[in-house]
Amino acid sequence: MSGSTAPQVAANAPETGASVRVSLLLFASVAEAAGERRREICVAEGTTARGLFEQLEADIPALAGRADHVSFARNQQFVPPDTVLADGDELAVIPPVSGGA
Amino acid sequence: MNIRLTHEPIDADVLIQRVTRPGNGGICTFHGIVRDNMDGRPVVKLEYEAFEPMALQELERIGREAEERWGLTDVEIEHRIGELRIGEASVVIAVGAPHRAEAFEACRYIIDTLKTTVPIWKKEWYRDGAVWIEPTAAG
Repeated sequence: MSGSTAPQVAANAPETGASVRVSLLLFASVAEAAGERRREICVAEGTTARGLFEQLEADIPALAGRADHVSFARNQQFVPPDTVLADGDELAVIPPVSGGA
Repeated sequence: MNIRLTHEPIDADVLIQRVTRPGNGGICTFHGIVRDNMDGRPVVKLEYEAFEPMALQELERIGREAEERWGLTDVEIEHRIGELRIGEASVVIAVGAPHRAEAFEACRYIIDTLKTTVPIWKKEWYRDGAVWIEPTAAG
């Protein structure tokens, strides 16, 4: 959208005003910092997984600086951060994992 | 192959029974146990959280990979979720193969891969606070 501070998003987003709806899922340290686990969010068409997280960082100061340390899963599959989101996608933000022992 | 996430204590004997078959000359298990300290700092309990549907899918993918690569006959993986006390098992892996070398290698591969790719997170609780463990995070 015009006025966005995230160049990655602005560069990919056509100036049509079209938006996509994404279900954002947060876990562990990220959920705790954000104070929430799920958010339905509308973003400009062309927004990437990382771009969406950067918007969230701008909205939630406790998440600032986390973008380089998280991975993303779209519809339960790991995807690169520059993956463009589609309408109806579920995007999970995956902090560094520590299962096992 | 059986893959489970559970909020109840893991019964390792059940997993071992399931991989015990006449064709399996080698059975190898790994038990991850809640330790009472982190580099000397006393730990009072652990908490595990998972993105459950995706964690199950990833565990299954790792299990299948191990089956194919080492020709395993049986693979059992069970991971505990929720709050765990010291001494309880967070994960138990049991594999059965015709020979021991394959069983050892596959079991090691499964736990090492699990720790780096499966969306499960550990929180360590100390007497005076708690921390999410994020091994690959810089700083």
